Amino acid sequence: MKTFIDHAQSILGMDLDTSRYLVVGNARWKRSVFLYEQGRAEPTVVAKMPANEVAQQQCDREYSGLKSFAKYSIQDVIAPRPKGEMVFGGFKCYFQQVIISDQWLGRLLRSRRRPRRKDFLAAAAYLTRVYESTRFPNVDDGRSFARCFQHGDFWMGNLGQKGSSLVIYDFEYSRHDGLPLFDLLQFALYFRVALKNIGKVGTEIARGSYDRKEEKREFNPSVEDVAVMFVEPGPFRETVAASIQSYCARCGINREDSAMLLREYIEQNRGISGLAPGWENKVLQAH
Amino acid sequence: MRQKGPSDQRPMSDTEAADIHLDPLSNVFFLLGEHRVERLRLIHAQERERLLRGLAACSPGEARIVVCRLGIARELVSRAVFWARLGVGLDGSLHRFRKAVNEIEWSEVGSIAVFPSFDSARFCFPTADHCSHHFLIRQILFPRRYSLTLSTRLLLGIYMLLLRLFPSASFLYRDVCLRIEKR
Repeated sequence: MKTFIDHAQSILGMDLDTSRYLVVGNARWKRSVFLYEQGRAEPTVVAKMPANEVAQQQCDREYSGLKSFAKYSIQDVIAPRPKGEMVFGGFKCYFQQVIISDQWLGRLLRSRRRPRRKDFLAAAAYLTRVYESTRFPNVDDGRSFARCFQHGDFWMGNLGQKGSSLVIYDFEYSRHDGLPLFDLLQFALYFRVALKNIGKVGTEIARGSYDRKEEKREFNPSVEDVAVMFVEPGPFRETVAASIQSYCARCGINREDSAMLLREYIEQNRGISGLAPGWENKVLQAH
Repeated sequence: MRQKGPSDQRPMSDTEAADIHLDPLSNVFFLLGEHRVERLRLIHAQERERLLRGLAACSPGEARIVVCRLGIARELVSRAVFWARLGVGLDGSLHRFRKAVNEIEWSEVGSIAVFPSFDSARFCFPTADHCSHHFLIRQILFPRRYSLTLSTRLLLGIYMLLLRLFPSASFLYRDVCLRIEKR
């Protein structure tokens, strides 16, 4: 580890403490190694270290996304800054800034029965700023919206709050030429997925006997999630509808185009089991 | 959470990736080097004696990774007893084991705490690195407690409270891996 930190020091131009580090993840897949500058109580930089070709591609994409996002200046929306790269153990690893924030995941336990409307409206407000600051100069042909930065994995697990700023993490699926509204719809759908995982893991994880083959958590959305968040009358659909309305109004996206984007989003999630053709019409009718 | 992004094909399913996650030694070997592993329950006197006899018989230059399973309650009690008698804190049975290892001419060249346990060492940091201990619990594990059962969340809450009361709470470590080398 000392060798790694010594190399990192020369790349980063920082005075790092070789006696402090935190390794997270799996050495045969992908690790994050948190590093400390001398005299600092919190880590200031994290190294993403892949250990196979697939993980390398993931890290490559994430770093590329970080660098793209760093070119924008968006009010109250920030992300870790890319800090450099280094070859170690035959793979390229990437350094990025550590931003300590209050993670949005912590709000899930307060949202079991009713989603917190202010979280959805806040997500819509932040994404409005992302759209305004990253949109292409010209709208798509005949449309009321332009292409813009799309995070691609905009769910509560990748969001933090630092004062009045939203901190966004994990840019592996980002693109600079994405579609507006998609990130908000992703936020809504995966909010529901995360809710289903409340209370699924017990003390076996502390004992280290958690068997991933018996995984009780679900990580992919189901048709029921689409129904609850977008179709069935109730607090969840109402909250999602309010946030969509707020976002589209602020971004100047008209009703026809918001319907088109919603339809496109549902069609792109065709891989959800049970989401047969025709579901996009149900969603549109509900909104 | 994965399966994100329009038209992205997942390169590996969760099940396939899970097999890789079942390898408990990968992080330990990454940090301490690949050496023969000896597992030890520190509160078990006969196991300690057997291990120490085995280590004493090794040749100079040999290295081992000793995975020490601490007993949190016992560590707490032994610290409390010493505080009551001497007014100082000690590391309890881990401290005594390290002393015994030194007496048979082995030097400790690395020690890491592993979370949640050695059997699934997903988080690792040097045992003396209390900053990383705090960062792991406060910034990484506590925000993700939503997927834990109520009783496990309470356990984590108690852990956080103990960490606030005892900032250098190495007695909370469940498994510690020591790399030792025969002098």
